[in-house]
Amino acid sequence: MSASSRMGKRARGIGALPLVAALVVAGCSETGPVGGGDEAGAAPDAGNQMAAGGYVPVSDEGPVVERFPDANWFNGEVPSTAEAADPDAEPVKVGFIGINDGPIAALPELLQATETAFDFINTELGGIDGHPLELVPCPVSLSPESSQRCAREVLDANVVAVLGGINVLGGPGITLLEEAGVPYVGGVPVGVDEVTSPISFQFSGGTSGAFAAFAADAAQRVKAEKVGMVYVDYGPVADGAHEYGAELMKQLGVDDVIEVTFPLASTDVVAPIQKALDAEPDALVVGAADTSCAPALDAIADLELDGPVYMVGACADKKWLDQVGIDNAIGTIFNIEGRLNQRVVDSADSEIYNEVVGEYGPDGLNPAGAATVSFRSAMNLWAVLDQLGAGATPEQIIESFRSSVDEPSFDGHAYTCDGKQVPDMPALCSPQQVLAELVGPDEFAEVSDGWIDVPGLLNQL
Amino acid sequence: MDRRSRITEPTVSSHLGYLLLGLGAGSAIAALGLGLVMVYRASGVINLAQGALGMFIALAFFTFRESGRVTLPLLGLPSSFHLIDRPTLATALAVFIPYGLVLGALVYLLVFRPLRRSPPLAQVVASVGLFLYLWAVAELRFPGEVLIRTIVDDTGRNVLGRLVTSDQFYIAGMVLVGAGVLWWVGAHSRFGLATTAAAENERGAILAGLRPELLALGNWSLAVCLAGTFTILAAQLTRLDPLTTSLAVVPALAAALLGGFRSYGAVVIGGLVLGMGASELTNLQADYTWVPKVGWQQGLPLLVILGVMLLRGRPLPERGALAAAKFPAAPKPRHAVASTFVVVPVIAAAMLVIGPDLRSGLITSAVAAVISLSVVVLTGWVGQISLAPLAFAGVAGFSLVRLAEAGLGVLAPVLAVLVATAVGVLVGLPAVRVRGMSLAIATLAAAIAIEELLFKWSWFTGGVEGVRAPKLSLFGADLSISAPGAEFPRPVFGVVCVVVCGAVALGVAQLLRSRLGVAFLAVRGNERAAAGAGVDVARVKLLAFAISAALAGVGGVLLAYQRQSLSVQSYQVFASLSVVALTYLAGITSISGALVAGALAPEGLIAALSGSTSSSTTQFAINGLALIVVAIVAPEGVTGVVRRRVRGLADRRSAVPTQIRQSPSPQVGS
Repeated sequence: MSASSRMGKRARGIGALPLVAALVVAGCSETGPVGGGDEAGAAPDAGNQMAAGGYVPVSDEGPVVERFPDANWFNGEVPSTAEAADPDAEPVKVGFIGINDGPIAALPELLQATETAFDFINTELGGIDGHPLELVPCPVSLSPESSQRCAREVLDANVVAVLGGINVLGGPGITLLEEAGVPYVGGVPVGVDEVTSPISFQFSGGTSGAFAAFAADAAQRVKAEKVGMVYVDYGPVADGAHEYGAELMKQLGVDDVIEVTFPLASTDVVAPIQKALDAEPDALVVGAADTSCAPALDAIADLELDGPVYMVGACADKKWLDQVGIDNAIGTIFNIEGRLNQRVVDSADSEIYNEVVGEYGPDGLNPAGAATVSFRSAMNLWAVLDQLGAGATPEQIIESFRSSVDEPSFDGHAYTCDGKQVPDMPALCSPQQVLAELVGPDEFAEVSDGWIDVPGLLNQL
Repeated sequence: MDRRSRITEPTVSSHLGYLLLGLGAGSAIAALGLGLVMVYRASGVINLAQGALGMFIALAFFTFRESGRVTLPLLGLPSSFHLIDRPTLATALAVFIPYGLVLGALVYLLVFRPLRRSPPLAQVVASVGLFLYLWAVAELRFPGEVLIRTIVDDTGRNVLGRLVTSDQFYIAGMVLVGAGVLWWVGAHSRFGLATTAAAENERGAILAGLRPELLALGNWSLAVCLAGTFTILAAQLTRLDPLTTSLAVVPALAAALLGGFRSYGAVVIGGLVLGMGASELTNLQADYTWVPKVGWQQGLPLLVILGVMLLRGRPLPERGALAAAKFPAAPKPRHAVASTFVVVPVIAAAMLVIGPDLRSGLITSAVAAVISLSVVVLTGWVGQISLAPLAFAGVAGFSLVRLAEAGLGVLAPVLAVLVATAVGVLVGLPAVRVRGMSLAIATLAAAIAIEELLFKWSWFTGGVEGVRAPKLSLFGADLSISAPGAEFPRPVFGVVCVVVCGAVALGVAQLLRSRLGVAFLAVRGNERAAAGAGVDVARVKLLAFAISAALAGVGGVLLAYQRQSLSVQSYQVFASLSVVALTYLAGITSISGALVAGALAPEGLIAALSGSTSSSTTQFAINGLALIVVAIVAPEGVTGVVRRRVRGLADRRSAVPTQIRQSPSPQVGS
C-alpha cells in the first residue's frame, strides 16, 4: 500500500456520474499495452514502443510511407511513394462526434489522432481517388440533445460516414444517424447504442471481449475449477461480466464462479476482493477501471492468490502501475487488442502509426492509449472508402462493413462486421483479445496463444 | 506464477471482519458529516459542497507536497504560486491548515453570508453552484496525476480472518477524537456555547453581546478545514478524484441526517454504520443469492434513511434566525386562458416555419419547462423542497418503453405518467412527517435510491441491449420527432411539445386558482395555521407530490419521445439538482419562471438563439459561479426581479405613494 495517484484528465471514470464509468470498463479496455516487442512487449507509453520486427524505418525524413520500403501493412503493401490528394477536388466529407473538453470526460486526442490520420491520408495516400478527406467535427457536451444536434449538423454537411470519439449520452444522436442510414465508425464506445446499432461498426471487444478472454484463459489454460469475479454494479457492465464471463466459464467447465460486485463510484474494493478470495479460487477476475484500478491492484498485492489475476487493459496504464509499485503488479494478466510480437503478424502498422504521429500529429499528442483507437478507426474507414472510390455512398459503406469477413484492421485483429461476433452487441466487429502478463517494468509477455477467438467462445453460450 | 506471499488465509467468513473492512470508508463519511453538522449549527446551511471543498484542499495539499506550489481556487487569479522547495509533511500541514481555514472563511463571506436571510433553497442552489465550480476548477488546476503519499501507517493486519490495514483504525480513532473535541468545544467552551446560543435564538444572542456572524465565520472556517484535513488523511484509503470525492457528501448527508444534524456522536455512528454496512452487504450478496448484486450497497442505506425519517419524523433543528426566510410571493397567473390560446398557436405555427436549430431549441425548452412546472407546483407553491424531479421523469420514460413493448399502445404514456405519480407519492411520504431541508435531503436520498435500485435494474432500463423509446403516434398519425428522409426535428413533434407544454401550464394556472391551490399556498405559508383553518395538511402535501410527479412524468414521456434512445445517466441526481437550481433562479413560484427555466435549459431556446454550445471545463466553472451569483443577487429569481422592476416602473408612473398602493397583481403567500 504505497503512494498512489489519481487519473489525469482523460476518460474520467465512472465516478464521474457513473456514466463514464462504463467508459473505461466497457469501451476502453484496451488502453493498456499495445504494440511491438519481441519475446516481451513494451508498455505503450509515449515513445516507448519497441521497433516492430523487421520494420525499422530507414529514415526519419521525407514521407512516412517512403520510410518503409517493401513493407506490408494492413492494406497490403505500403505505398512506395507518397501521393497527395488534389486540394481542388471535391472533398469526401466524414463527420466526427465526440466530447473534446469538459469535466466529465475529455479525450481530445481522439479528434487529434483522427485529424492526424486525415492529414496523413491526404498528404501521402492520395486521399480517396485524389479527392481529399474532409473532417466535419462536432463537439458534444454532456447532454443527449447535444448529440442530436451534432448528428443533425454532420448530416446537414452531407457526410458519408461519421467517426466516433467518446460520446457519453450519444444514443439519441446515433438513432438519427441510423434513420439517415449513415454509418458510425469506431471511437470509444461508451453507450449501449454504439454497440447495438446496426449502423455502428466498432473495432474493439469492449468488456464482453475482455471477460470472455479471461474466462477462456482461466478455464482452458489455467484449468481453474473455482474463479472469483469482482466487477462494478453498473447495469451493462455487470450484465456483460455475468453473461460473457461467469456464464462462459461455467460453460467451459469451471465448477464454481463467485461473483461479487461493488458500487461504480466506489474506490474501496478491498472488501469485494477479500470476499471473492474467501472461497480460495484458482483465479481472480477484477473488472475495475479508472480510479479503482490502483486500489484493486493494492488490495490484490496484499491478499495474495495462488493463481492468476486478470484485469482489464485500462488498468495496465503506467500511471496505475507506478502508483502501486511495479513489484506489486507483476504477474497480473491484462487483456489487450494487439499482438506484442509484431514479427508474428508481419505488419508495419505499429511503426507507421508512430511515425505518422511524430510527423503529422500536434505537439503533445500521446500516441499511446485512446489515440490508437481513433487512428485505427480512421484508417479502416479510409481503406473501405479507398475500395469504393470517391463517390461512395453511406449505403455502400455500410454494406462494405457488413459484408466484411476477416478484413484487415489497422494495427489490430481483422474484423468481421456480420453482427454475430458478440451476442446482443452486433456492432462489435473484432472482439478478439490477447492476454499479456506484466513481467517487469514496462514489460509484458503474451500468455495467450496468439489471439483468443472470442466470437467462437461466445457462440457456445 | 511469482506473486506475493500470503498474508492471510481468506477462509474465515466473519461478519465482524467485513464490518471492520468498512471502518475506513465509514470514518471518511463520518468526518464529512461532522463538518456538515458544524456548518448547519452555525449558519443553517446544508452545504452540498462540503465534499468538494475537502477534495480541493486535499488535491492542493498533495500537489504542494510534490511541487511546493500553493494552488489557488479562484478563476482569474494565477493558478498557483511557488512557496517552498520539497516541503515536509509538517510544513505542508502548517501551510494547509491555515489554507483550509481561509478557504472556509472566504466561502462563508463571499457565498453564504450574503444568503443568510435567503430561503433555504437559495442556499442549496448556491451550494450546488459551489460544488460545480470547485469540481470544474479542480479539473483545470490539477490536470495531471496527483501523487498521494501515505501519511498514516497502513500495515496490513489479520483481524478476524480479514486483512485490515492499520490506517483504518487510526483514521477512525482520529474521527472519534475529532467528534469528542467538537462535542467538548460545543458543550464547554465559550465559542461552542455561543454558537449553540446563536443557533437557538439569534436575536437573544445579539442582545447578550454575541456576534452570530462572527461565530458562523469561525465555524465555517473550522468545518472546511476539518473537511480538508480528513480528506487528506483518508485519501490513502479512498483515493482522490474531483467528482467521486465531492460526491462523498451524499453518504455524509445521510450520516448527518441519522444524527439529526445535532449530535456529533450520532453522526460518527451514522457514518460508521453506512461505511461498515456497505462492506457487510458485499459479504452478504455473495453468500445469499437472494441479495441483489446491483445497487444495494449504495441504495439500501438511503432507503434506511427514508424509513428512519418516516418513522421518526423529527425535523432538523430549526434555527432561531432573526428573520424567517421564506419563498418569494407566488403571483396568481392573470389571463392564463387567453394567453395560452394566443401564445401556443403562435409558437406552434412558428414551429412550421423556423429553422431546425431554433425548432430543436424550442422543443428542448418546452419539455424542460414541463419538468420545471413540476418543481414550481411542489416547491414554489407548497414549499416542499424536492430534489428528485428528473428521477420521476426517468421512471416515466423507462415505464413508457416497457408499457409500449407490452402492447398498450396509446395507453402507454398515460400509464407511464401514473407510474411516476405513484413513485412520487411514495417519495412524498416523508413529507407528512418532515419539512424544509429535512425533506430536501429525504428527496435527494430518494432520487439516489431510485437511481441505484430501479435504474440499475436491467429489466427496467435495458442493460446491455439498451432502451429505445417507441415512436410517438396517435390514431395512426406519425407525430414522432424523426423519420427517414425528413428534416430533424420534425415540426409536428414540436407542435405536440408546445401544445402539451401549454396545456400543462394552463392546467397548473387553473390549479393555483382552485381550492386546492389555495390550500397549497396555505400549507406553504404556515402548516399549523392551515391545519387550523381546516386544511388536511398531509393530504395536501401528498397531492402536491402526486401532481408534481405526474407533471415530471409528462415531461419524462416527452423526453423519451424526443431522445428516442434512453440512458440512465441522463436522469441522475445532479441532473435533478440542475433542474431545481435553474427553476429556482428563473423564478420558482411562478409559471413564467418555469417557462424561463425551460428557455435557459442546456441546448434550449437561449442556447439556440445565441449559438452557444460551449461545454468546456471553464464554461462549467463559470456556470457554477453564475448559480452562486444569481442566488445572491436575485433570490426571488429572474422573473421575480423583472416583475419587481415592472411594478416599480408602474409605481413611479402613478402618483400614488407606493406604501399605500395595492399590489397590481394579486399575490398569495410570502
